[in-house]
Amino acid sequence: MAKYLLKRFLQTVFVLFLVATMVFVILRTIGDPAKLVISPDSTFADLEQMRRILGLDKPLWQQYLDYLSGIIRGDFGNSFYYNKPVIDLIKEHMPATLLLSGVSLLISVPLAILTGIIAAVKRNSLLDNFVTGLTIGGRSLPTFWLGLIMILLFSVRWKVLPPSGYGTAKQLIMPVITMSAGLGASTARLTRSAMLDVLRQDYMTTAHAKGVTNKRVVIHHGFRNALLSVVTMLALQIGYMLSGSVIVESVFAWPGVGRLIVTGILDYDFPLVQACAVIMALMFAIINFIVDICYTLIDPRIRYE
Amino acid sequence: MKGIAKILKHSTFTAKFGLVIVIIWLLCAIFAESLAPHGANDIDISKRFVPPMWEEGGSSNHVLGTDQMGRDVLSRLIYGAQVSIVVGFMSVVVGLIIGIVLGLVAGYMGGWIDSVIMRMVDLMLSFPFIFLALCLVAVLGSSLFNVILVLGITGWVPYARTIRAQVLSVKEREFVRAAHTIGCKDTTVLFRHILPSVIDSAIILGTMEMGTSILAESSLTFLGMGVPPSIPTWGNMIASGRQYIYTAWWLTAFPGIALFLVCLSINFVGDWIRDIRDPRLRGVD
Repeated sequence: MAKYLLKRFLQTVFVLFLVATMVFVILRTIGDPAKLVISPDSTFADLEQMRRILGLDKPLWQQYLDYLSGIIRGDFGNSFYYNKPVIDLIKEHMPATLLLSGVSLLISVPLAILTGIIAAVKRNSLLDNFVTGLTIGGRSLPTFWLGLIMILLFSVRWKVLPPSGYGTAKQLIMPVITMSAGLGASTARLTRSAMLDVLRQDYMTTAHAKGVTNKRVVIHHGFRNALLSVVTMLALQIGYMLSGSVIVESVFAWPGVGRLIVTGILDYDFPLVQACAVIMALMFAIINFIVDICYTLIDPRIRYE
Repeated sequence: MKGIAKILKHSTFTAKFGLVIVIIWLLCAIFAESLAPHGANDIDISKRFVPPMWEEGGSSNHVLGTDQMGRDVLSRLIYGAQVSIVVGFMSVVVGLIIGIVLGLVAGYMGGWIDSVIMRMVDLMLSFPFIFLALCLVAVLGSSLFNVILVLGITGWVPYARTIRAQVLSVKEREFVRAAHTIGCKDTTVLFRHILPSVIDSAIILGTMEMGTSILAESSLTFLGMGVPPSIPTWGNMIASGRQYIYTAWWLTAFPGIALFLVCLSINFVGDWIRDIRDPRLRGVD
């Protein structure tokens, strides 16, 4: 186990290094942020000075080394635009994103798993067709448009929910629904197909033949085995959720990391974008690691040597 | 012709529905000039925010109303079909080419080349797609061509994984060993013997991904980093309509419905094609 943990740790560090390098390379080809930060009527000397302040006058390799060593120390530098440490900015915006994603996960995942199981057990029933239709619909629905249509209906037409903002439970409703729709649709779809796979197995027939109750067969024999692929997919889904938050937060003016990223890219705020990329990749790595550990709990046959 | 009729007769309702919408979509794109009642960029300031014809104040001249510059919404939707087809199709082609080549090489060569390509896959997966796409568009500049390129560059992973997995099993089969034995070069074996037997699944996956690509284009455009506003796309229409959501609902609603219907139909048709090509998978996924 210790050897496995070490291997995983080194792999994670390597991927993070790649992500950090890739973002650095991409951002250095964008343009000169010093030109964007200073006011239009500044002189050439002002520009030079701004470059010095932002650390852009140093040779590229030195900027790269400074940047890497900064990451190791947990220091991502100061934001060009907000002029304060990037790490503080992310800390300020993280709670909003975590709240949104957390609530969406807690609502959509159990619901989706339940409907997925029922749809698989009662295959080709009305409910199954409904779930299948809904999941294909969910996959084809543009997230941002769903959000806008809800604003149109609930805020503009019926005036029951606030169109944007952050703080109250009422303001949470529409962003959570928008976020959950896609996640729930794909989770339900996946649970259904994983369950259908399992239901075909011989041990299911055996369990039925032994006289085990239907409910017990489905939950203990069926779902327990389907859970493995559901959890795998869920880990990827949480990654996509980070993508989703970028869009949902933009639609509802939600003050989270997703919006921070979009404004960071639009403002050419290098340190901010770099930090967001590395932190997102880190979160992704941690989630995947937790999932791998979960495997051993779900399926005793899996051991990490 | 008879064969097609027979297949159609046995297809499900959703497949038929999907096919009809996809055909309408294709016709709109091809004959946009003659179908659209007005030009896509015909500005008429005197007719701003005309509601759809069935609403109060609407006119039959502008069936789905007009936008903030008096442009006809229906005409812009029809012209938007062109862009969505180009983006959907071309970005999938770019993704397929990259994905197939990398998947083939990874599966066939194995060893360190495989490791490097799979680490690239890990890298792509550990990054929210939209983030990478936004960064790349910021670097390359927003144009139709760049959006296609970016969607292709960010979209190759599923194809590469599918192809690689299949190559791993196919390369142990007799016909591949036979090809080696009679002295075929690696490239011949790879492209003449292995590729034809694995390409099917990637292309089926590609048809399904077309919808996703079109959605991704509209999301990028919505965030202000996609196709420039001068080109009428559904994403652009929603993005600009959003500012007038309190007064003119039709600017946001109709392009979204078009997007939804087209993506839904592509998914239906994709499922249908997969069922025909590989009946074992029917109803499972």
